[in-house]
Amino acid sequence: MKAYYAILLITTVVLTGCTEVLPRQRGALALPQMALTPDPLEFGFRQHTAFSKEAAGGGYGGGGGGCGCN
Amino acid sequence: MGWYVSSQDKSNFVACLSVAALALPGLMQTALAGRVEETYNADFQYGHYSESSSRIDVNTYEGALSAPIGKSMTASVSLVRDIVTGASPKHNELDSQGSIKQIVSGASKKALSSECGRSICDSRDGITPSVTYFFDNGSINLNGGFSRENDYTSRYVGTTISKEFNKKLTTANFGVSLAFDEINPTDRPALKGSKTSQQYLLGVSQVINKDTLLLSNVTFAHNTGYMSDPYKLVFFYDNGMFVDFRPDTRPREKFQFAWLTQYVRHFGDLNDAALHIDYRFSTDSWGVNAHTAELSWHQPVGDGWQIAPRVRYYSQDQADFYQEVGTDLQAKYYSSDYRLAGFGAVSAGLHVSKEIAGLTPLTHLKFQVGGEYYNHSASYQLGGNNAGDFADFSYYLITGSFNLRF
Amino acid sequence: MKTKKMPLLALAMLASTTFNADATEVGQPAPQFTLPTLQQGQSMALKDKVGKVIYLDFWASWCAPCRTSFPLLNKLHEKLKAQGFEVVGVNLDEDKAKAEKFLQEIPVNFTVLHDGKGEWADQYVVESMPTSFIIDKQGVVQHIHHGFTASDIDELEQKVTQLLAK
Repeated sequence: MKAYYAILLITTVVLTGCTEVLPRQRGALALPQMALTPDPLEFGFRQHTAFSKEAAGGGYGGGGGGCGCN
Repeated sequence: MGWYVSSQDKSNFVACLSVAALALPGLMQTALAGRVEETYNADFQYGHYSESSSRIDVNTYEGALSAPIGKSMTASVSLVRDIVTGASPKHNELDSQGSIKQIVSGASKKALSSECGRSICDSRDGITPSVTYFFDNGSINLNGGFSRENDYTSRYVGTTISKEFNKKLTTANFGVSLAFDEINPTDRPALKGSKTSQQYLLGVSQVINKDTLLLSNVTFAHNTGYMSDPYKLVFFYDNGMFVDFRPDTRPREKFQFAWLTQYVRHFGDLNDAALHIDYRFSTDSWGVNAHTAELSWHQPVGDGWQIAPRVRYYSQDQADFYQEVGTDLQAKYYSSDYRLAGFGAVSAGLHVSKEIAGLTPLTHLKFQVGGEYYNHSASYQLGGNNAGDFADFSYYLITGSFNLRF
Repeated sequence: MKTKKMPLLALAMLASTTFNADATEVGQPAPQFTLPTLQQGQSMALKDKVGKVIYLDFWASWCAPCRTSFPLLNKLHEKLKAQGFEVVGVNLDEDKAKAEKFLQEIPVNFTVLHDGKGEWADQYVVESMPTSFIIDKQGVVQHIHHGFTASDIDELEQKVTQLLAK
């Protein structure tokens, strides 16, 4: 329970600590280089390759399954 | 769908579904720019993978199309074909001096009689359809996939729900995916098996200020079924003397947990450059803990050109049942697969893109090329590793793609 | 007892981060502004447009739906300007050069003003990009439109035509 409240507190502080960003101020965030995954196809290929050569996986989401290469 | 038959000794290199990236949850565009215009999207990518010592070569061709359906829905489909040739590590041996050697499947004479003259000749065909429905403050995505190659069939279904709140500054993502795989190893019908995987994702992305974005995801995966590699063996030794060899045998269950944080920062004074930092920690019930860190810098250089160098570091420790060569014949599980060993990897890459907008107000064309060099070495493991360099290797990747929006 | 209140407290803290400006609503008089044109030649005051139906469009160069809306709004402007209709764009780019580049790619004949600090956008309360306000001949806001997709133009034309007939 302590952990739960700690997480709740941290989340709240982080969220309220964020500056208000009005819709008109989101121009920088809308730039293609600011996308979380700027080139999804290349990212897919790189993830695919890394996943088949390394034991780690997950985190990024998307269809996670279907791999016998690990 | 047709595919080439056949391989003698084949690793499951290609069995992953790569196109899932198209369905990545993240900050929705609507949060930034109101409703999204219904545009058609066409993508094509060629990728080449080449491993050191002429091990594996892959050519991959991928095409994706997405189209609006009505005002608030987008449907997309992606097709991929991988063509794989080469050879892969099969087992480790002790030589007469007692040092470990990695034996690669290509050494077998059978290889020469195969279709492509290599020990592995295979191709994979995959299709991934997806539908996304957009609400005012969220979206629901349904996706699936089917992929087939000579000895491996994979099917999956998944859904991702995104919900924006806090004036669209916060996006919460929830995802579930289920995969059903069947393995039917070439020339080894006895090792036929199947595997079920489920993965759950919980994530939040948050606009910190007008230049900064933060994402944090956790994923839990549970896999059950056949997870051994049917093409790999473990050679057992007793005091340096060969005693037996057995097929790679792993537990039939695996839990995996991963925590990913992505930080994206805009630099207005540097011509709108963007810094990306990703860190992922992953741990599983086989005893593998791994750290992945990646850093990239996206620099616009004018006229629609962008250059993005990146570096990545990866480190994992070994699985509980990993053995360089087998020593304990009583062990329930054993594997000499280099992917379950402790090691580290360093990679560096460069990505260049050129965007052509305004051919007509809505047409948009983008070309991208990328390259990456990846170096795997036991000695790069965090905290060190004295395993020696018998499994070290490197690979490079090249990609080229274009995207057309109209 | 203390800990039970924590989720409530957290919620209250989150709730307090919402907008607190009063949004301009349908039926209210449009806030009167004077803004320079993007090309900096002269300035324009909304009050000079009394007697006309105005489509006041808050936009920015980075906004994807704005690329859709501009050619269509320009057409509407051309079609109905003789009847007393005008489109007025208010650009919200901090960097004016980006807006100028946008207009080179998608030239329009209607007036485009510049509100680099977003003062008037905040006065009207722009909740998404773009947001537009249709103002009748008496200077009263009659319709607020959030975002833009190509099929919206028919509905908007209908609204404008109705107001022109009044």
